[in-house]
Amino acid sequence: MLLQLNNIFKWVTTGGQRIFLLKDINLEVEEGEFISIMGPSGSGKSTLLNVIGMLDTFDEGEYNFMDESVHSLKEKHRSNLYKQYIGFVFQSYHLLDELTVKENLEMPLIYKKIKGSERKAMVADMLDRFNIVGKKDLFPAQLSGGQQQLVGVARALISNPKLILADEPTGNLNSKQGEEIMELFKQLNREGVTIIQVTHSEKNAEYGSRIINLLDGRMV
Amino acid sequence: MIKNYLKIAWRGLIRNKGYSSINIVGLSMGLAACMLIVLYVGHELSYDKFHGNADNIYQAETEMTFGKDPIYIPYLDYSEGPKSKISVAGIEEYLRYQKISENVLVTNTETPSLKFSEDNILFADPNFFEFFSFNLTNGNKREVLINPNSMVISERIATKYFADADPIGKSLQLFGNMLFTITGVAENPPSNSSIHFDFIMPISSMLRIEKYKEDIEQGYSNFTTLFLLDELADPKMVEASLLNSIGKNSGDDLQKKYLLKPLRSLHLGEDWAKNKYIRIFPLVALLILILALVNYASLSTARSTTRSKEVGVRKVMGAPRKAIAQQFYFESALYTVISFVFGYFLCLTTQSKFFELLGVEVDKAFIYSPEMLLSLLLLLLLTIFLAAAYPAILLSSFKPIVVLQGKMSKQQGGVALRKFFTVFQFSISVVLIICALVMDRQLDFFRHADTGVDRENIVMLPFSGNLGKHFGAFQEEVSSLSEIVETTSGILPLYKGHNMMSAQSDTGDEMIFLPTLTINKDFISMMGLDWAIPPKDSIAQMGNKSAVIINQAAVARLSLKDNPIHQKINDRYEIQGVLKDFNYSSLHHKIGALSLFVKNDPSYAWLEQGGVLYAKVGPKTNIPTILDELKIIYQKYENEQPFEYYFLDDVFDSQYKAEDRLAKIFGAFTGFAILIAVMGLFGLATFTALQRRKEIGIRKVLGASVENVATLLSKDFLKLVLLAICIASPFAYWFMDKWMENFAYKAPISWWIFVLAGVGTLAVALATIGFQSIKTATTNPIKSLRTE
Ligand SMILES: Nc1ncnc2c1ncn2[C@@H]1O[C@H](COP(=O)(O)OP(=O)(O)O)[C@@H](O)[C@H]1O
Ligand SMILES: [Mg+2]
Repeated sequence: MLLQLNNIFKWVTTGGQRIFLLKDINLEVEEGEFISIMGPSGSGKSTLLNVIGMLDTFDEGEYNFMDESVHSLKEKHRSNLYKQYIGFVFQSYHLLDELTVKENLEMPLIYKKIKGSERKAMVADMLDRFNIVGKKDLFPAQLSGGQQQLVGVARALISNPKLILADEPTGNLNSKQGEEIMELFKQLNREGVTIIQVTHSEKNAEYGSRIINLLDGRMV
Repeated sequence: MIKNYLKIAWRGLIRNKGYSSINIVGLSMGLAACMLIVLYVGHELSYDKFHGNADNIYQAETEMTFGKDPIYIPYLDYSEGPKSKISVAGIEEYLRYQKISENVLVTNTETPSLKFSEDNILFADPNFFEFFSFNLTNGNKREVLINPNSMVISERIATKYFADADPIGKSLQLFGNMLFTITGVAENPPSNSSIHFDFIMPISSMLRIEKYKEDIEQGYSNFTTLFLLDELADPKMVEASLLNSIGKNSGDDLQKKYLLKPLRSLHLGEDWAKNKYIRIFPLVALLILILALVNYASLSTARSTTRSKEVGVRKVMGAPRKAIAQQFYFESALYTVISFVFGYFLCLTTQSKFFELLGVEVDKAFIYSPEMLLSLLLLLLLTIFLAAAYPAILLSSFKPIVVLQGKMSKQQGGVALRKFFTVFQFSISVVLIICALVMDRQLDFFRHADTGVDRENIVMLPFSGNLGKHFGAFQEEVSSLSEIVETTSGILPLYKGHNMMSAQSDTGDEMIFLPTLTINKDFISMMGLDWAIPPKDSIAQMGNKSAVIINQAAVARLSLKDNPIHQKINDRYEIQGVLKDFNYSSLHHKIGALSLFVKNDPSYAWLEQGGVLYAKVGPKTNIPTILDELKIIYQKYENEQPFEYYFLDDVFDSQYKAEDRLAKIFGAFTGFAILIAVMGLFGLATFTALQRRKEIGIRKVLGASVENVATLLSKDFLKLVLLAICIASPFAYWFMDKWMENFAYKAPISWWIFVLAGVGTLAVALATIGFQSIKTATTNPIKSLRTE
């Protein structure tokens, strides 16, 4: 088992009242799964994804990731954990405008303190795999949305994560571009990467092996 | 990693050209101002430090108390130096020198056309070059001044008189017909030496010159005397034993004391105004640096909304906070180094103007000395550290989830702090503006004050005893010029000093120093001085040796009767008349007691010490022409002392040189501060407009007019500037009130100065913001909404 959420609650308190963002979430994810999270806007999809990605905290419940209990880990340990095993893909790509494609891909490796020569090889490999060698010296602004998201996925993959978390990865793309990204996910999943994506589109959700529906912070 | 940081910083710099140039220009100017001040202060503090024995050398001063007020004489008699060395424990060595107060004609006898009137002439003990650390380029420092006919000259003098030839062994002629043989050439004294010389001759040669010999033999000579103390000696103890060993034989109504002033304190101790600069300037430098840094911090954090995404992404990609902070440090280092380079060029190109404004000379060698370069390097490091501190802390603290989901509230971007920065910058600007205005008013007040003296169109020509022998003829010839309305004479130029006599108060229990002016009888009418009690007898009577005129302040000071005519001062001088008080010295001081001695026959009066001819020039005279004519007449009677002249009103004004300088420098710094503040404001306004683009687009689509939007954007900033004005005004008032304590006569600090400073600042701020606001308000909303 890759991860397990037991009775997760998350809330904010406003005016003395608790507003629940996540209510009693129980979820087990096996390695190699491809899960789609669906639900109306504001139902807590992103919140859940962030909790899984350890970018956000929760107030009650247990979270085990690869036999480590995340809820009892220190901040530093936790960030080491997600750095090592999790890759993120965002709806608005979040590439750094000042960096070229190649440099954007290289950045996570720098923070992992990987040596220069090794970094070069890994970046070249990734460029090759995604067929974007010709774009390596371009800046994000010079790419189409689909291409940018391609780079986004490549960046998430470069440090060989076990799990990819994607929050509406096709939200800013047209249907053809979206399809390409979904095909890519499917391909990656086949190669053994676990994927959890948030999506609004039934069609995209079908790419996954399992669909989780959220409503007002509760799994239905 | 570092390469990566720098690459990103460099690209950011190139991409945001407007932002970068505001940042860099502001910081360069701030740094340049700081560097200038560092150089100036460094130079002032380095005075006389280059002497190997600097810390153990002291200059002897005599303090004489006579009644209440002590006077200080920075000299000892010829014999006192050697006597002290023998009889006072702790004194290892002494050195005497005397700088000649008048100009001396120096001739190269081989080429008599090389003949100049010189004024940097010293007689010194033969150990001069061992005692001090002035370098000789030629000659042996132990031997150069042993022979009474020997002479050491500075390099510039060597070039002036001998061009490229080797001057050693050649002779110069001084004091009429005395020949001195050049035995050494010294490097020009550095600009941070309080001792300046061009010619040095051995003290022994003074005994061969009649006028110096007499003073020395009678024990009335004035030699600057320095002692080299033993490392362990306590200067206070030495002062006391000096009194015991050489201070005994003076008159007993006179309280005498010896003081030892450390050589290193001579320069800054000389003049209070200089000392004040040394205290104020580092503060000003710090202030300007802070202004520039605040600008940098405020602009960097204004960009934080743009940068926050980057921080978020980097953190999600695994960047620890430390790495992010480091990145901002490198970025600020890049900006700072570039600004520093520009600033350094700016500093080097403006330094000569700046030092000229301050009235100081600074050697190139000092500017490029390792010490100064090191200080500037420290300044660079400090700037890098300070510039990055706040942005690095703020930006690296962003939580990735917050910024990536666009949930960052405005407060988190440091808005409150930026408001504080803006208020801070403008407060400082307003304080400086108000101070500059008040100083300007005070100076204007000085220049136009009614002091009871007609200062206009009066030119003063000082002359020596040489010309004094023919003064009658000289004065007659000057008077006969058609442009000259009136002439008179006195012993000293007005406002440039006066003599003193000791006087006993009428009650007999107090001695005071009474300033005296010795004048020709026409002086009173020509200067427009008014009588309080006119003399009863004829003006001619006043020329009696025992007659004196005093002012009203003297009547009070000496506790005389209300009508003191025919009363005597010191049982000797009979009071003939009382003048209304007039300012005979600067307006820093209240009018003090004064006595005037009248000489009826000027051609007899100025024989010995020389004097000053006062000539009143007609109102529409061409000044250069008349000066030429005066010079020609002067040179008929005098061929040794160069022709000099002063205009009375210039001399009067020059008493406020220190204030004038301060005002000019304040003016310059004020300009700097405003410029930096305005650039910061412009940058902030630009970013705010950018940030609120979407909001403004929506407002406009919903029907907001251009005015609505422009007001919306400007209002917040103007409120801050208004707040700054309110905060600054009381501070400025307090500072200036303190400053005014230096003067007995003050211009009022009027309300309109504050209004003017406030309105001016608001106008400048409005112009700065207005441009941006209107530009934003007039953009088509569809555009800004689409790009969002
Ligand atoms: N920090 C927070 N404070 C208050 N409310 C929040 C916070 N984060 C999310 N929410 C609210 O929680 C709900 C779920 O948000 P989110 O997970 O972003 O929904 P979505 O399913 O659209 O991704 C929304 O109503 C949102 O407004
Ligand atoms: Mg969402």
